[in-house]
Amino acid sequence: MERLIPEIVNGIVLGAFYAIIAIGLSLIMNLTGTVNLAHGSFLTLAGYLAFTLIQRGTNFWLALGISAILTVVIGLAVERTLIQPLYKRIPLYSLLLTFGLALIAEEVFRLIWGPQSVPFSPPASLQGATIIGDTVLPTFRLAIVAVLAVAMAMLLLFLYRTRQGLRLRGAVLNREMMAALGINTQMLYMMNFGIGIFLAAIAGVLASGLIGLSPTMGNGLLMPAFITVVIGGMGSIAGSLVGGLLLGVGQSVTTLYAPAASEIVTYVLMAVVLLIRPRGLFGEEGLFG
Amino acid sequence: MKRTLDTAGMSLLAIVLLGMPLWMNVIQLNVSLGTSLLLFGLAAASVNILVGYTGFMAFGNAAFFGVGAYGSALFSHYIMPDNMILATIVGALTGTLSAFILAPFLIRRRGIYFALMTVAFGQVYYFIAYRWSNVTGGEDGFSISRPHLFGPQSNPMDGPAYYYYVLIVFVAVMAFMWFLVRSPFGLSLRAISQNEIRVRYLAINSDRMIFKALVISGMVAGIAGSLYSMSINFAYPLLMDWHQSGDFVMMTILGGAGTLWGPFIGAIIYTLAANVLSSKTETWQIFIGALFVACVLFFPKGILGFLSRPNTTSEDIDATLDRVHADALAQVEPG
Amino acid sequence: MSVAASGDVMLRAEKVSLSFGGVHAVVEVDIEVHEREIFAIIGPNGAGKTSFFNALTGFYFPEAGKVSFLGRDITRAPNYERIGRGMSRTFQTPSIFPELTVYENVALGVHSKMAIAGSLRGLGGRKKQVDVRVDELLGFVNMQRWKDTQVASLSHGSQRLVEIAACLSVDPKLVLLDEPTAGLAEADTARVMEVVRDLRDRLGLTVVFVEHNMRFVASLADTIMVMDRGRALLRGEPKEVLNDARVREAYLGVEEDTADV
Repeated sequence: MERLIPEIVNGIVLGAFYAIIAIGLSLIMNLTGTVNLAHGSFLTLAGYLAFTLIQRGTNFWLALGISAILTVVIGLAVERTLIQPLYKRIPLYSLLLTFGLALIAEEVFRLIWGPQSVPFSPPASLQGATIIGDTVLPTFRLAIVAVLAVAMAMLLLFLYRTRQGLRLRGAVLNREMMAALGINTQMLYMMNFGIGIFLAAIAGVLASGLIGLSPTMGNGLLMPAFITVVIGGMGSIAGSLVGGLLLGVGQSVTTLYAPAASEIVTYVLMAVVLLIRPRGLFGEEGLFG
Repeated sequence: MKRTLDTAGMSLLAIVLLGMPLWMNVIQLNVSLGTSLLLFGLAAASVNILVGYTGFMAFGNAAFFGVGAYGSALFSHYIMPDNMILATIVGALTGTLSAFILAPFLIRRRGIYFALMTVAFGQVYYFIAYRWSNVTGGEDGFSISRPHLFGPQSNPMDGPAYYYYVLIVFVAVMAFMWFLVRSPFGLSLRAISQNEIRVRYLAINSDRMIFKALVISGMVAGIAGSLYSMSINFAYPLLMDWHQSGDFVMMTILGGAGTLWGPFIGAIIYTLAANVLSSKTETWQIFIGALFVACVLFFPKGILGFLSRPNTTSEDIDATLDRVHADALAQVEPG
Repeated sequence: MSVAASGDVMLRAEKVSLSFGGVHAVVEVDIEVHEREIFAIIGPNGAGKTSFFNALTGFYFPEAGKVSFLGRDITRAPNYERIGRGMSRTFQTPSIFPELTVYENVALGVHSKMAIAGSLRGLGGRKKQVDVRVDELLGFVNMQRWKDTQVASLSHGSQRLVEIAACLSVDPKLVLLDEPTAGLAEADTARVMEVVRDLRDRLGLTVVFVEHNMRFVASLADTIMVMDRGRALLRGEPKEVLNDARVREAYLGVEEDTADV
C-alpha cells in the first residue's frame, strides 16, 4: 500500500503532462480543425532550446521562460505561413503538412544536437525529495505538477475571464459569426495556436528533465496525448484533464502490479471508454461525431 | 483525345510492369524494388478507397498492411511452410480481420476525430507486434524464408518469379478496384464524400457503407502486406507504425486521390524518391518532410488529379463541399 | 379541409418539443397531415419551422413528444429509416452532390430503392431499369437535357429541381420541402410551384412545405399552420389563416400579398 502513493503521484505527474499536451492539441483542433502532428516537435524544440540555454549558464526558470517564448514565436511563424493557407481546405492537408514538419524537425534536431539523448537534469534546487506527512516525494515531480497546474489555471482564467478568451470561445462555436462581427479571425487563429504551443513548450522543458531529451522525446508523449483527447472527448478541456489524469494514474498503477501491461492499459482504457461512451467522457454529441 | 491518352497510358503501364525485372536490371537495382512498388501501390490504393473515394481521413492503414505482413509470415513459419498461396490468403484474411475489428469504433466518428482514432487504434496493432515478442520477434522483427509456390519439391521463387506472382495479384486487385468504382457501392461512397447527410436522406445507411469501405480497405492493405513480408523475407513492427500510414496517405495524395491509378503513380514516385534520397544523404528525412509540405501546399490534387481536373482548384471543390455540408448542418434557424 | 385532401392521417406529431442548449426552438407543436393533402407551414424567421422539419425527419430527435408516420411511431427512428418508410425531404439550400452528374444525383436514390446501393457487382441488366427510372424522374422536373452535367455548374434553380427529382427517386409517399423557392428568381419560382402542385395532382403524393412566398402558399395549400417563436399559432384553411389579425401581426411588414386571398 505504501508503494501505491508514490506511484499515484507519478501517475498524476504523467497525467498532468498528458492533459496539458492534450489541451494544447484540443485547442488547435477545435478552432481550426488542424490535427497538429508536429505538436511533439514543439515539445522537443522547447526542451532543446532550454538545454542550450542552461548549458550556457542560464538559470532553469529563466531558460524555461525564454525557450517557451522562442518556441511560441517559431510556432506562430509556422502557423502564419504554412498552416493558415490550409484552413479553407479539408483537414487532411493540414494533417499531412504537420506530419511533414514533424519529419523535418526530427532530422533537424538530430543534425544540431545529435541522435542520442542529451544530459538534461533538473536544477539543483529542485533535486532531491520533499517529505509530506509520511511520504517522501521527489521535489522535481512536485514542482512539475505545480507549474502545470499554474499553467492550467492561467489558461482557464484567460478563456473565461478575458475578452480575448471570450472571443476565442465564441469562435470555436461559430467561426463565421466571428468574422461577420468584424473580429480579426487571423489574429484569433494565431493566438489560439500560440497558446497551444505555449502549453506544449512548458511541458516539453519539464518533461526533458523528467524523462530525458532526445530527438523523439516529444513524439513519445504525443500518442498518449492523442488518446487522451479521444478519451476525454473532442472539444472539452475538462475532458482532456480528466482523461489525462485517468490515463496517467492508470499507467502508473498498472506498472506496479503488472509492468508489462502498463502500455496496453492506455489502449484498453480507450476501447472501454469508447464502448461505453462513443463521444468520449465529456465529448459533445455531434450529428455523427 | 482523352481516349488516346488513356490507351497510351495503359500501354505504357503494361510495358513498364511486364518488363520490370528487365528495367531494374538496366538501372542496376534489385527487382524486389519493383515488387515493393506494386505492393506499396496496393497499400496506397487501400488508402484511396477511404481518402479518395469516401472522403475519410484514414491514417492507420499501415496497421492493416502490417497485420497482413505478419499474418503470412507467422503462418508460413509456424503453421504451414511452403504453401505460398495459402500464406497469401491467410495474410489477406488477417489484414481484413484487423480492419473488421476496428470498424465498429471508427464508424461512429467523422472528420478529424475519425482521423485521430485511426491513428490511435492503428497503434494498438503496432504495440501488439512490438510487445508480443516471443511470437512476433518484438522490436527486431521476424525473419522467414519465402514459401515455395508448389510445395517443398518445387524450385524456390527467386526475385523475378516472385515479382510476376505479385504482378498477377496486383492486376487482380486493381481490376477489383475498377469494378468497385463503377459499382453502385462506388457511387454511394463518392456521394458520401460529397454530402453524407443527403445520402442518409436517400434511405441509405451511410454507417454501413463506411463499414464496408473500411473492411475492403483492410482487405486490400492486408493482401499487400501479406505479399510484402514474403518479398523481403521479414516482418517488423515499424511496418504498422503511423508514420508508415502517413507515407501511404502521401502516396495517394501525390498521385491523385480519387483516381484509379493515382495511388500507384504516387507510390512509384514516393518510393523511388525515398530510395534515391536515402542513398545520397543521411538527412533524407528532411527532404521527404519537405515533399509532404510542398505537395500539400502547392500540388494537393496530385498528378492524375491535376491531369483530370486542371481548371478547378481543390479549394473550389473543397469550398463547395464545405458549403453543402455546412448548409445542411446549419438547417437550424437561429433563436 | 378541401376535397383533394382526404383519407387517413399520414403524418402525426404530438406535442413535439426541441431545444438547443437552452433555446426552445420548437415548443409542443402538433400536426396532422392527411393523405394527398398539401400542408404549408409559415411563420417569421426564427419561428422554428426548419427545426420542426428536422424533428419530423430525424435530423434531430425531439426531447419530448411523438412523431408517427403511417401509424408507426418513428420518434426515435434514424433518418435513413424514415426515408425508407416513405418520407423524403429537401433542404433550405439544395442538398445535392456537387461533383456528381445530374444522372448520378438521381440514380443513387433509385439504387437505394432497388436495394443495391451497397452492391459491388456491376448493374448489368439492371442498368436499363435504372436508366428508365432516372429518365422518368428527370422528365418530371424537366431536366433530362442536363443529365450528364455536373450539378455544381448548374444554376440555383436547376439544382433545386435536381434535388426534388432526387427526393422523388426513393418513391416516397410524403414529401417535405423546406423553403423550396428560397433564393429563386421569378421564373424558377413558377417552375417549382408547378412541380409542387404536380407532386400531388400527378403523382398522388402528400406534401408538407415551409414557405415565405405567400402567393405560393395561398394558391397551393389545403391547410396552413402558422408558427411563431417555436409554437403553433394557428391552423386552418388559407382564407381564415391568412386574414387572421395575429398572423398579420406576426408577419408585420414582411409580406404584402396576404391582402387579397
